[in-house]
Amino acid sequence: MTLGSAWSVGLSGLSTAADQIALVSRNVSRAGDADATRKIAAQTTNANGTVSIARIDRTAERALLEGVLSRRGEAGHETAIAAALDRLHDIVGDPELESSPAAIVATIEAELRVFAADPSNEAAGRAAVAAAGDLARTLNAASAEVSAVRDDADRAIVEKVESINRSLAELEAVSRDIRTAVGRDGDITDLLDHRDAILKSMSREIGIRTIVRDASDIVVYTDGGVTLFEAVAREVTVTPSAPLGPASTGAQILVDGVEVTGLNAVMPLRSGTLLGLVEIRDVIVPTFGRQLDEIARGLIETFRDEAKAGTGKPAIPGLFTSEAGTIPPSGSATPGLAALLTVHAAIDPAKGGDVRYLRDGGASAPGDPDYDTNPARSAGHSARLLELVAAISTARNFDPEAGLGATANLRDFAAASVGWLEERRQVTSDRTELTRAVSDRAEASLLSRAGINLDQEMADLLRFEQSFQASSRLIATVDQMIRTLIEATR
Amino acid sequence: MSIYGTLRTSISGMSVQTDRLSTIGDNIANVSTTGYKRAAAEFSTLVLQAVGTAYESGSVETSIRRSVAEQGALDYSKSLTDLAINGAGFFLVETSGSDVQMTRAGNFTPNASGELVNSGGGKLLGYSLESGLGAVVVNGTAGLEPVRLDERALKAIPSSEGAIVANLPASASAIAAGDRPSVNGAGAQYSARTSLVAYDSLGGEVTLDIYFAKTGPEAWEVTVFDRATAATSGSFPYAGPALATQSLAFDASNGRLVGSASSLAVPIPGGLTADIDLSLMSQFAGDFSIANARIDGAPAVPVSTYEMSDAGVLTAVYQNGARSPIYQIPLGYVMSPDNLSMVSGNAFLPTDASGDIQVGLADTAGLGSIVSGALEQSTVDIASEMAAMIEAQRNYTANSRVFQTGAELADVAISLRS
Repeated sequence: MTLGSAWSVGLSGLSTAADQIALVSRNVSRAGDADATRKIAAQTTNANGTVSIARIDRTAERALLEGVLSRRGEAGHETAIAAALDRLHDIVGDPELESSPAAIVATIEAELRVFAADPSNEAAGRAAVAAAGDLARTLNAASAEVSAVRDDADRAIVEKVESINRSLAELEAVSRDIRTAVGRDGDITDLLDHRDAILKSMSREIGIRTIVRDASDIVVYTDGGVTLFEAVAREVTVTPSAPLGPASTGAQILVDGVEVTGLNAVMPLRSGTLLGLVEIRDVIVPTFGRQLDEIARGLIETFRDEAKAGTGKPAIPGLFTSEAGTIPPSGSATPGLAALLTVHAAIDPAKGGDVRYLRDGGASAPGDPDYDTNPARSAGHSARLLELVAAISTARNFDPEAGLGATANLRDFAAASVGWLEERRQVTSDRTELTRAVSDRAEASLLSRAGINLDQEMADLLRFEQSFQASSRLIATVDQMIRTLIEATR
Repeated sequence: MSIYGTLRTSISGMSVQTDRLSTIGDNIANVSTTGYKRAAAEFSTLVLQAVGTAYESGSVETSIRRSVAEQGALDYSKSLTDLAINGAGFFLVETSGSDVQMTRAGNFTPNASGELVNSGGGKLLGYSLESGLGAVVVNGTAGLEPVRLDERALKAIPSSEGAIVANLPASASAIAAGDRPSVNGAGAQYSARTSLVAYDSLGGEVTLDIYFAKTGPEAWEVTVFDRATAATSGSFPYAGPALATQSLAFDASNGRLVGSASSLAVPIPGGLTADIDLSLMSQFAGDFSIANARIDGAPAVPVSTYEMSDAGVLTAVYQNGARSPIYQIPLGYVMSPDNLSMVSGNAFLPTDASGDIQVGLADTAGLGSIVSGALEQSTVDIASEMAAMIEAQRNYTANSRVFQTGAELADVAISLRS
């Protein structure tokens, strides 16, 4: 140990303290940034006693980050479904209010009873037909909304796929920078932060899992195990399907050539907004649409006109009809029927019809005596109206694929449909809140473990300032000693 | 005994102190010279044989010692081409038109043609590793060439080795023989699929589609296809046959791989045959999940930087993070380093006394390791040199007093006759 080496040690102490303070300022400037981790300089002592900064580390918490990634995916999944169910709820309305199909079916029944009590009262008939018109319009609107929600979901899927591809391209660029920086022994901590931020934003859209390979290289898989990123970004593809017809299902999403959604997917997605959107498009909303179609079909079937026994003629549509003008087969849904449901023009006074056909029957076949229950045009004819009232409460077959059982009467089926939607909405809303809370909690714990704490930084600042002062004092002392020696040679 | 003898003696005393002052001057001048080894003046007596009882004063002569073997302190810098030796060896350098010289001054910087030159003008010599790491024969100074860093060189690394560590789902249903990926039919089914990007000899990306299909209880089949030959749907049927197919068997009692089949030899189209290790695959009841999947290789990109290992292997680091060793930097040594002759440019040449230059590899036989990003400081300590200078000055003064006294005595003797 010589004065010369004491001098170098002091000098290295100065430069190290300066570097440390620069690092503290870097941390302080990013305090409060959720994507920033705390940077720590790993200081080492060299063989000759000098100190230097070997590398910059960061307080990465891989396990917590993985937790945040999967929780965000779950929250994204539930949130997407909740938003779509809310839209359906807004159009169909609350079961307690009068705008829901179930409530209007009850209104029609009540108005028919009033009309049956006084079949000569045309105003009562008009009231019943007006209620029927309300119901047809509600079903039309709901059916249009079902199509709109599905089309919007499909467009959102295409957008999300594009945004995931963009994130993957960004991830590829950052990963290349990281590999280069690792080779140069450079500081990669900010690049790693950037990479984690990309992963976090992507994890909401599509459930992901990551593994870390040598040299900080990362591989990203979907939560079903399909490669999303390995050395280079893999492609996520989907064909736009909108506008979707009532009977058609949308195109499935492919990741790296593997189908990850739909019934045939071997390695399906388990979370993320993308999965939520596909479920909305292909499962939840189509089921609700099928229920609407079944309500429409049930209405046509309930209010149909039977031909007189022995004539062998088929039943024909009565109060409710569709463009086809026939009675759809019982027990299976006719896709898109709810959109086409109308009140029969021959009955609807607004279209120049006559409510007499509601009382007497035969709206679809005027003048055909085989469908006329009141050839005498008796003003007191109430038998058919009472039949219709009874028919509303008669159990009939419904499509089991609508998810509400195979038999029910029309009133109960309409009520069950609204109940089904409300229950799904309630369950999803609970799950959304729960997954969001868990996700927020995971992010908070990641932030508290890996984030920047200003108190800590301020304490470090004082420590490094003292170390800087001590090192400069050392240099001053060595300088003084050598000066003493030089003076001695005079 | 004679007065003139005394005068001669004191003159020699002054002369050797001057020599010593010269070494001190040289040392202080080179206090910041990288790789400088301090010189020291050592003295020895020259004795005249006394006749009878008379005392004949002799004289003193200087021999200069250079503590070449003394290790200087390492000063750390940020430059990767700053090299220092922590041990007994020397860098081998050449200057234009000279023999191979030895130096400890490792402050190398690339010149216009990429050769590493130190402050003394010496070009660092090394063995080229063009033909592989094991090809170097350490045999004197033959085969050494100036180390040249060419920043423009492109390099691709073909894939040759990889591994997949994954769990295959034990609960997957077996796939009928005709539907397996190895048959390459249009409707082929699989239990899991993953992909890896490998590189051919020109650095082109080759995406390997790797299919896992359960063939029976605890039996799986892994099949690899080249994505480039996939049907337009991105999947089966592939235009070319499978690159590799391998059956795997698992132990029903612990889920581990059994049998000899534990790796997959995949001939990369236009590249090498990559050996993909599957020995850590498992089959537990659970999802398909990958714990590690990697394959080496890199596309063609320019060099990003270089790095030096302790053992003296200079490695080029490409922008994709790939590394390839380009030079082996050997270290020279002699039997007696303190007897080396110092020449201009912080360099040493062997002498008869030192022995011939021998060449060895760093980190072997006590030659020491090469430290990148550090410089060996001069071994001069300014404080001891100042102290020695004070001592030399005092000694010189004392000798001059002896001369003065002798001269005065001679004057007295001369004035006896007047």
